[in-house]
Formats: sequence, structure tokens, C-alpha cells
Amino acid sequence: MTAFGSAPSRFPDDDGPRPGSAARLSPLRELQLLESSQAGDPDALRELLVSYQHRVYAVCLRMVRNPETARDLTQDTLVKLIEGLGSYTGRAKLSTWIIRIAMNCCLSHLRKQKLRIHKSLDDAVGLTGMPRSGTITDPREPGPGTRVQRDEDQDLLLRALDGLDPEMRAILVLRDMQGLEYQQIGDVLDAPVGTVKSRLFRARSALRDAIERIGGREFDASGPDH
Amino acid sequence: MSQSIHELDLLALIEGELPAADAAALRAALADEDPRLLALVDAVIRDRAALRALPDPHTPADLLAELEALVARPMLVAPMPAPVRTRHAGGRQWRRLAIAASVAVILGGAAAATIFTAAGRQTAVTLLAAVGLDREATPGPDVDPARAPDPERRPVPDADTLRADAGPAADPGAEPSDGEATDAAWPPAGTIIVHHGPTIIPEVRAAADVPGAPAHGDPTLVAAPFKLVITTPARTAAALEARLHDAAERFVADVDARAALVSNFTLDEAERLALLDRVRSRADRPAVADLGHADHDRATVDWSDLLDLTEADLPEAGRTDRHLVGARRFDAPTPAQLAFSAHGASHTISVPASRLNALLAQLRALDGSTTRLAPLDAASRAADSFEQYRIVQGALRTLLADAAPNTMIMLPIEIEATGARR
Repeated sequence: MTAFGSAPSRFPDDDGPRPGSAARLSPLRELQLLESSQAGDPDALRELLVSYQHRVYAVCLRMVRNPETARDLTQDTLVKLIEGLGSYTGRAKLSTWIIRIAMNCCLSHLRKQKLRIHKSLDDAVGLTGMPRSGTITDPREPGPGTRVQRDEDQDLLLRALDGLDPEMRAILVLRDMQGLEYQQIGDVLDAPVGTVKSRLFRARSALRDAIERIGGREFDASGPDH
Repeated sequence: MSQSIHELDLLALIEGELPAADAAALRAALADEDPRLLALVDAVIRDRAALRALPDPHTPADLLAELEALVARPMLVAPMPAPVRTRHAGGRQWRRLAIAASVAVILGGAAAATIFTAAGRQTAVTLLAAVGLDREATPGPDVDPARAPDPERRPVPDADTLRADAGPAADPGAEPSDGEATDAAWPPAGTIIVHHGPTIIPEVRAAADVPGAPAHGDPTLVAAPFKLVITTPARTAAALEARLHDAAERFVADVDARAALVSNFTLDEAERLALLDRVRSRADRPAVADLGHADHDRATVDWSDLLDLTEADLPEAGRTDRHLVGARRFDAPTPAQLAFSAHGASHTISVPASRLNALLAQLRALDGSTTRLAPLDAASRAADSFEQYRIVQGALRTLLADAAPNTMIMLPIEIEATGARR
């Protein structure tokens, strides 16, 4: 029997999967593995875990930025996945459900660690009608295509992301790194779509502020332009 | 920020959700009202692109090893549903699964399973009754999950392995060979395997009678609530029917002599029958000497009327020998053919439930075609293929829940001539 089809692109405005990302299972294959896992097939469960471990680890690492902590949180997520597999009803997409588990683990961890660099939602003023005074654009570094420049830019970006409030960081991780739609983000964060949009807007503004604060210059993306 | 430019407008611009004209207009408004805000928006757009371009981090290699240990540690694995017992065990877990599956099928709008006797009389039985929810379950032997076959690791059996045992049951005292299920353990739904496509059941070596199941002389015919769709490019559609016939012949010869292939009524034939039936029921009984297709109104066929028809009801002109291959006594009866015709199936093949797997494996090998199982009812077919798969899964489990290995499953087959599908 042939499969029903391939999974749709997660990034409709991109040409393909994220750089370095592992191939994702098609929804049909996921369902097959899920049902086999629920029926007690350890091979199916193993394949499901292996297929999702990269994605879960990516979420955790981007949230906590510490590889060892991200590893622990990945383990926690997968244990919860195994424990909760029997009760998964299919109401949400499997990927959304798993990412929700991962995000909850991360947010719970961060709350406990009190690693928040205080930045309330109301402080994000960059795009809300109170632009910074003076110019914000600094001369670009030469050779944006060089590997060194790209690494520096990525490091700056990640440091800025790390400096955000966990809730704002979460929404950017879900939107830009996991490619979730508004409704899916809402399902993960348990928030209505309107709230998701509002938070996303503020998160983007806060990230811009953080980049300028840390880098002292305009961040010049080396990736594909919008 | 300008009163005329809302935060959500800016977000839409940043996220690339605006049509080009609207985006251009918003940019123009920003450039006019607040150039610095426009510059910020552009910077945020580049930030977004940068985030999306970040490569996924490299997953530590030993995380996999730890995962393996995680899966192997039973105390961390949540209790899975108990290995499914035989249909005769009637365990609570199995009944819950059967109930859930049957409810899913009913709510999904799939056609109710219909049971036909060999005499051709249609006894409409609801799905609930078919899965035994209206009677006490009969206790029976449990399945030893350790001895259940692992079909995922078994190759598709060859003809010798699959050769049907139409005779008496195998020696009940004989030990099954390694990795095989006993007849008493069939159908062990806990070992349902999944190939690339709809779920198909594991194979058993012998279609032996199960205690309590009808004898071969009085088979139970059960209509599948789904159909097999064989898709082929239009240019090969004419040849596909011939290949289907050949494949069915090989199946009968090599696998199970009880299988039977019939051609269903075409839509034209069904329309003609419907018209004849309407005319026959009219009090004035006008002459209907010539009911050629060119003359009668090709109005929508009222299938509900046709489902009551039996061979005896058909006018002489409507009675044709539709048998193609296999044992005639297991031909799908006329009402079933008409019912399946209503769903677009041009053929129906009857096959023992224990051989359904082998049949699907054989039919998928038809060159140039793809195969899938699809729900029968239009409402379910309107769902996307992912949802259709789930519906068929549920229907298959429900169908097999109460079927003995020798229960004859009538599987409608639709030949779909389209562009080639992957």
C-alpha cells in the first residue's frame, strides 16, 4: 500500500526544512507509529521517540540555552510523552502535543530557577509608539557572508533571545524555530489566538530592543530575507 | 503610533501575511507618518528572518543511547492497553476497544456492517450487534503476547505459506512454529501491524474453524464498510480490469479457493434497474418494451429502493451472471453488489477474514497502480486522506473484532482512472 502523501512544509515562505533539521515524519506515519506504540510495540515507540528527540532538544536548548539542562529537560519531556501516550486523544496534532510538553517542562524549570531577566510585556516599547531617539542603524560590518560574521550574528541573536522573559522567548521559539501557526502556539501556551498575536508583536519588539542593547548596532541577518 | 496603523497591522506586515498591495500601502503610510517606525519594522523583519534561519542545534549523540535505556526501562513505560484477547475472551479491555471503534465508525458515518446469509437474504445487523455489544461475551483463552507474531519482521508470505487450509482444523495439539499465532489466538488485534498505508492484519497459517464459528457450508458474509480503491493512469485503466481479474484468479488458485470475484452493477445498469422497478410498481403499468439508455431519463438513481431488490425481484433483463472468479457460493449477493455500486465500486471480492491481509498484499502488486482503503460513505470520503485513514482503521478493527477466520469479507473494489498518483 502506498502512503497517503508527504507532510506539508512547515515554513510556507521558505523553500524547505530548517538548515540542519532532521527529516520529519509524515502525519500518516506518525499516526501509524502512535497507534502501534499505544498497542505496545516498542519498536514503534522507539521510532517515535527518535524522530522527535531532535525537535524536543531544539526547543529545550533554545529556551534554556544550557546543553546539559536541555538534555535533562528533553529526557523529562520524553518520559512524560511515554507516560501520557495512552491518554493522547488526538484532539491536537501529535507534534503540538509533544512540543507543549516540552515547553511546559522548560517554563516550569525556568520559573523554578528564577532566571528571568525582568522585562515585562509593558516595557516593550520599541514598536508601540515610542521609538528610540536618534538613529538606530549603525554601519554594517563588512562581509556579511563570511562565516565569522554569521557566527557572531547568531551568537548575538541567541544572547538577545536568552535575555527575554521566558514567555516572550517561548513564543519566538515556537513561531520562528518550530514554525507553528498562531492556533498551534495557542494550543501549546494555552492562550487564545488574539493573545498570541499580541504577545508575538511584543516579543519581536523586545528582541529588537535586546539586540540593540547588547550589540549596540543593527543586527544584520545572514539568513534569507523575508 | 498613528491611530490609523494598528499593532496587528504591523504584525501582519512583519509576518508577511498581507497581500502585496496592502503591504505596499502600509509601508507608504509608515514612510509618510513615521519613517523611524518603518525602519524598526524592517529591522524586526530581518530579526525574524535570522531566527528562522538559525540551524537546529546538534542533538548530543549519547542522548539516543539514553533514550534506548529509557524505552527499555519498564517502570518508566506507562501501562499500555493489555494485549488484546481473542474475540471469544470478551475481556473488558477488548470490549472497550471494540466499543470505541464501533462508536467511531458510527459517528464517522461509515456504512453499517451488513450480514448476509448464504441464501441471499439480507439481514441488516447494526454495527453494535455485529461487535457483540448486545450479548454477553464468551470467555475464551487469552493471548500470550510473547507468542503473538511480529509481522513487521516477517516477509510477505509466499504462495506455499499462504495456501489455504480449506479442510479440517489443524491438529489442536500441535505446537505452533516460532513466531506464529495459533488459530485460537486469532485475530489478536494487539498485533495489528501497519505497513505503508492502511492497517492490515497479520497472517495466520491455517484458516481453521474457531469454536462457535459457522461451518463452511453456511458461511457468514460480512460487508466491509470500506472499499479498496485501485488508482491507475487513465491510459492503463482498461487493462487494469483484466489484471484485477488475473490477480483474483491467482489468489483463488494459490491462496484460498473460497474467494469469489464478481462484477457489480454499473451505474447505467443500476439506473435501468431503478427505472424498471419504478415502472413495475406503477398501477398503470405502461408498456416498457424499449428502455434503452438513450430513451430513459438519467435521473439520480434511488439506491434505497434498489437495496431491497433480490435476484428474484429483478426482471429477466436485469439478471445476469456477474460471477467472474472463484467459488460461486461465496459471490456477493445482488443487494450487496447494488450497495457497493452505489459507492462507486465496480467489483466485489469475497475473501476469508484470515486472508484479507494476503489479498491486499496481492492486489497492491498490480503494476502501474496504487492502492488504498477508503471509507464508503461520502461524508467520510470528503475528509482528508489522513482522517480517512483513521476512519478505515477504526472500521477494520471493528469488522475483525467479531469475525472468525473463515468469515467471508465482501470487499468492494473501485478502479479509479486518474493521473498517476504517488
